Amino acid sequence: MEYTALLIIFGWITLTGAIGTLVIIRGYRKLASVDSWFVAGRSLGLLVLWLSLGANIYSAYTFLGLPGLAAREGVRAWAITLYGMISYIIGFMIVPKLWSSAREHGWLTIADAFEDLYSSRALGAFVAVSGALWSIPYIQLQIQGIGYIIEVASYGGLDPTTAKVIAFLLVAVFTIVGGLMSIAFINALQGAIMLVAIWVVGLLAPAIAFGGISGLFNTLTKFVETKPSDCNFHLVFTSKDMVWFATLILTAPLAFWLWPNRIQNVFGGRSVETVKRNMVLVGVYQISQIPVILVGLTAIGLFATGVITDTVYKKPYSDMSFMLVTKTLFPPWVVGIIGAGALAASISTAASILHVTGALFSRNAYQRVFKPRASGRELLLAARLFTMTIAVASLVLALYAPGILIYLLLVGYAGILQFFPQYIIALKKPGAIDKYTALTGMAAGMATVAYIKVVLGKSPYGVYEGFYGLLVNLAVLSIGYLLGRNSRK
Amino acid sequence: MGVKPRSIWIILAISYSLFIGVLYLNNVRISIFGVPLLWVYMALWVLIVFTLLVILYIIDKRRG
Repeated sequence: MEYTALLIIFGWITLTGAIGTLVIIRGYRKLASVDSWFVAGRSLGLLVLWLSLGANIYSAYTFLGLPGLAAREGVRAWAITLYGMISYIIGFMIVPKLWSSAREHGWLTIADAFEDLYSSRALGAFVAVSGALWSIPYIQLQIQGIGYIIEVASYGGLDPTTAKVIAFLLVAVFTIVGGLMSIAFINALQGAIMLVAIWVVGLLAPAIAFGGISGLFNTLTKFVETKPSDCNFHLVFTSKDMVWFATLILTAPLAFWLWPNRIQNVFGGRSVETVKRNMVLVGVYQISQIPVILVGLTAIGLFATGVITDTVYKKPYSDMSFMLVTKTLFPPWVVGIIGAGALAASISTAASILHVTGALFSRNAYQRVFKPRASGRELLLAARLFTMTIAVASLVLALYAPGILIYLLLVGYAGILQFFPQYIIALKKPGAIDKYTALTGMAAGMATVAYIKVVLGKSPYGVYEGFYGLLVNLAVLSIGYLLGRNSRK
Repeated sequence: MGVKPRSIWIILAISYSLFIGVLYLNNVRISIFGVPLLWVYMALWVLIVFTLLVILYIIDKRRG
């Protein structure tokens, strides 16, 4: 068995774990305060916020899911990179305003915003719990990703399930004890290693394997003509791809900044200027998805030439593309460094989401609805218990119902997207819809997405499922608005 | 204060309007240095949107 890669990976996890522990010990009293646990005391400067947001947003889906989609379906991968980039323009429109309002009104979570805007605790609790539930596929994809990394880096010598459970328990414990401040420090380290790994492998892999990008596309063009019948890889968009692509880039950017973990990370920013600069600077990570797509293409190219024997155009090997390419073209110590970066990115994102789901539940559901006089200590306990529940649920799904990484992410987006109309309406036209209409619209939109994914399995006509959910949500809001207007008259 | 909504809408409209190019270039017949033009265009689209984002930030900064 080849141990080098695994030694580097677990060495890195131990190192980041030790740093996290050090942060906790040194700042224990500070971390014990609710404000610090939730939003790092709103003290994150430009660099730490940039690196932590980068590591928070770009995770297993960037390292594993995106090259997996490129290897599996080719040109469709561009939809992911594009909606992400457009999200920063949408972010520039809504995030600084959200940060300012959060500071002014003392919002600590996205659910606080909804509760305040609609003067409804029930609505805040709904956003908190549904936000946490739609985060489950996001956490699941991180756990699956960790498993794939360990599996490839062990060169076939380690059981991925065991390694996955150990790594995730580490994250869960770290998340529960720490808070956003400690996660931000760790994320800063992960962000740096991730960027370097992506560019080095992305630019070198096609050059080593095919003598350059031209050689790579030459191989792919031939492969498309002779590909197996069950292979869905395309160099051009099919008509169904076009529909999915258009509906995805139109709607997914609206959800990008409403993910509870992302917005809470933004709430940790020191000033509105820091937040605005980050809207631009974090976009640099998005550009880094271009070399990631090249790695996915290299994987399918290496499969076409018989160098990689795993069927990388199919689940689950497609999501292992990045690691398989690294393992094939580079020595084990490089696999270790890349694996450590990818694993760390996945762990930090999972920790960040778990941290926020706990915060949402304890503050906006437990305290507001069940126990208004709960002490700060009780709130932290409730947060940690809920965090563990969500973590275990995600782990069980990863073990028994694994999905394609990028589509797990997009299911989560489709659910979170349903917050968008209600948020914008409350900001732009307060009082236009009441809390009941707002809640019914969100619930109907989310139910539509769940129906498509669970009952239908595939979205009709290739339309992105979030788009259907949004249409239903908007229909409910329109009816509620018209009924409300008539009754007001 | 800050960037006017109109600037954001114009930049968003430009970002999305580049979709039209995909409809025209959706083939592998034309390539640049061995890379299909469609793929070059997709990469450029990403970079153009990033450039528009930077422009948006500059406009916002100038308006104070």
